[in-house]
Amino acid sequence: MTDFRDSSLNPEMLSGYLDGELDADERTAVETRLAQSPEWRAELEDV
Amino acid sequence: MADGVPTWEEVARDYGRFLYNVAYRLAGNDEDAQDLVQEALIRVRKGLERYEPGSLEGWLARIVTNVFLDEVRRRKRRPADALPDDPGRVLPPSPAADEVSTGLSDDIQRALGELPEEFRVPVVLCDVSDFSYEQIAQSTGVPIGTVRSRIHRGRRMLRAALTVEGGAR
Repeated sequence: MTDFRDSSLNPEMLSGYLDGELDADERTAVETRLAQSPEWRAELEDV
Repeated sequence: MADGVPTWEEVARDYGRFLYNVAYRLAGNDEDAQDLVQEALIRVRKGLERYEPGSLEGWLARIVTNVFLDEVRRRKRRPADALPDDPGRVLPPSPAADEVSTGLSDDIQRALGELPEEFRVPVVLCDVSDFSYEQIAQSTGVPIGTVRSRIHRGRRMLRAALTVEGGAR
């Protein structure tokens, strides 16, 4: 399992997430981050 | 229309405005949009022989998009062909609200037109022409990570522009 450091996980991936453009690992990482981070959830609202 | 395949005349008559709308959203200005539509209609005429009934609007949108991308690539290769006052980036003037009707609200169309081209193009290709990120990357010659970033930032810029105009804050 890839270890995702914060620096490789970028809020700009959220558009890709919404558009279904991420692969399975990326999607999991984004969803995990969203569950943890109010900032990410706010960013998701913004797009 | 026979068997769901339109004649060229029918496309020109019934879908001219649709073609213009897509072209305008990509190009951001009326003059380039008109040129795009003319070139697109030529390709439509040639392509109708091979067209299989399905989503006509999707097919037409792709043709306009490909014409636009060909022009972008052509201008990159030969920047001397670009408009004399073009510094290498197309910053379109915002049209008057009553000049253009593109199927989007005036506010959205104006905000879209004010985006720098490198943000407007991927957003339009994704949201209007329904390209995948991979297709956008291949078509525009930028890495897919850049496509992702520009779509995300482009949408945020649109949102910010529309929120300001709405005066909601």
